[in-house]
Amino acid sequence: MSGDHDMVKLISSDGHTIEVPEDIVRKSQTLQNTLDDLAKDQLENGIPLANVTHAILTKVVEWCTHHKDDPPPPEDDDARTRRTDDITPWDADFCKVEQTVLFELILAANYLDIKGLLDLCCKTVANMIKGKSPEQIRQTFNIKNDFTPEEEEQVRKENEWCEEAGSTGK
Amino acid sequence: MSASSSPHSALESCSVFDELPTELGVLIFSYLSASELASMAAVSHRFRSWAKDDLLWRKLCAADWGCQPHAHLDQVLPPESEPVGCWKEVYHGWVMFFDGIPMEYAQEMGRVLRRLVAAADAAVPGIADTILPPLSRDASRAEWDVLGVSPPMSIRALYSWLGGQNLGRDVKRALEMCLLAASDQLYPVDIGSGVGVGFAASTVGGDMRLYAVDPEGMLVRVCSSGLMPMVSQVGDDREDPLLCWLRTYAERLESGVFGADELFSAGELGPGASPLVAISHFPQSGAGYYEATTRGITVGAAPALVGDSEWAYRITVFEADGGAELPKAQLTTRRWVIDGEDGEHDEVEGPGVIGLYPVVEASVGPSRAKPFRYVSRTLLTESERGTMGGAFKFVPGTIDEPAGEPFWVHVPTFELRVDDVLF
Repeated sequence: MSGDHDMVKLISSDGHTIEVPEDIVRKSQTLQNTLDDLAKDQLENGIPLANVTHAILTKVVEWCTHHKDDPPPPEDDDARTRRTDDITPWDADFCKVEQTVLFELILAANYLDIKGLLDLCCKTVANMIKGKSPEQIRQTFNIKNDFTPEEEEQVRKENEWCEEAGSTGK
Repeated sequence: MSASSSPHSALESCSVFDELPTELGVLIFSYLSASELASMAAVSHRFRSWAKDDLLWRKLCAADWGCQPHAHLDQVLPPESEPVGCWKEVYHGWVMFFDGIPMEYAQEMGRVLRRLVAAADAAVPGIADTILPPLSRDASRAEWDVLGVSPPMSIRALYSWLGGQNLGRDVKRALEMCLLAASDQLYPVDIGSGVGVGFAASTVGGDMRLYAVDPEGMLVRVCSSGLMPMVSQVGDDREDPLLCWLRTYAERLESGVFGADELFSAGELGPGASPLVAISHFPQSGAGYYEATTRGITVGAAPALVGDSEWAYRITVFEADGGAELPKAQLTTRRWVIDGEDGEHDEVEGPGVIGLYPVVEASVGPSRAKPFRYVSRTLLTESERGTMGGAFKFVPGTIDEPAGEPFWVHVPTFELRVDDVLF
């Protein structure tokens, strides 16, 4: 790589080391703090990431590289929109992965504190949920129905106001 | 999306959600609507507990019902609600309050009204304080019974959000401004084809105009003081006409097309009075406002429909931005050219405007002279739409003491036409 960027060594949980330009690494708030806290010579051996495998780390770096010039995402607040239809084609392609990968990306984005990536993956999962019945959701995500018939009836009663109100709208 | 790993694998009993901490499950759920959360609650115990998260429902209450997220629960409930213990119950309370009105419609009406009140308050500070809280459901039902009117759904949604505007003692004067929503005296309006429900009023050019929704809620009508239907051309089949009217009003306030205007100066209202400032329905910028400058004198023109083929227009004459070319000039003559699209043509020339001969003076120092402003009317007898324009003749100095040759100041040609959404 060219000498324009300082390279940072990242060590995945399965022992692979990759070198990533520092400005890309700084997309992660967690790693940004690490970089700021440690002296240069302490970084020589690389930063170990106990919770991120090589495969996931590669995906994360790919996302951060594509988004390196993005402005920082806005702070979370109560007026935040629930829009999930604003995913760019590149991001949508990026998220076309197996469920397990998508969920590992969520965990990694959370651990590394990369808000844009975390939001993207959560939105993608939300889109997989939207419009599905409880039974369809169980099938999609292989979730066991752990309600007794009585509990199921109770849950239904608890929430029927919401379903009815929702279905009368557009 | 092809996603799931093979259901016959050794991991059959595992779900990707199993390893997900609660905070991240809730984060995913934060992209769901209230009714989608209700579906989630029926999936499993874990999903049910996530879908109950109080912060999720607080955000939903803020986004869907305009609740202040940091207010106490008692302060974000609809009128006459029993105390509740969590934000989900607040949400439920609002759904119950709008019983019979589609939830998304009620929410959108609320959003549009909050936007409108904020925009109106920005234009004329204090307007937000005049908005009354809604009547209780019982009181409101009793009121409609007395009036003998069955309000259409859009009107019920409107009056569930607010109880009109408190105009104080000065009702007549307050009608000079456009009411955001009518006080109760505006409810039933004879709109010719039945009893409509009034929801707002304004004056343009001296006439009070009422805005009413027809009995089916399909049209917003504008009625002049005679309460006759004037135009019934608001909205289209893709959008509710009342929402469309309110949203357009908010947009025009936000973009500065409508704005504050001094209807009466302090002097006109008597000793000790402050000037009456209200929202004017003569456009002040954008489409519908016209301006031309000649020799440092600017003439602004803004038309508005007031009755069947009758138009009010407001003319403003003032020193141009770069300053007046002459220290002083006085208007002597007006000339108007009115053209209807069906060939009617009228030219008028006469002394002064509305019997006055205004003087435009170059400003001395930083303070600029107050613009001269008047409202007059014109008729298009044969055409639906047309144009009007002309010129004002000015004499340098004054009429009594002319200081040069008279000259014509261009009056921009403005369009007389009916908007899709009438004001």
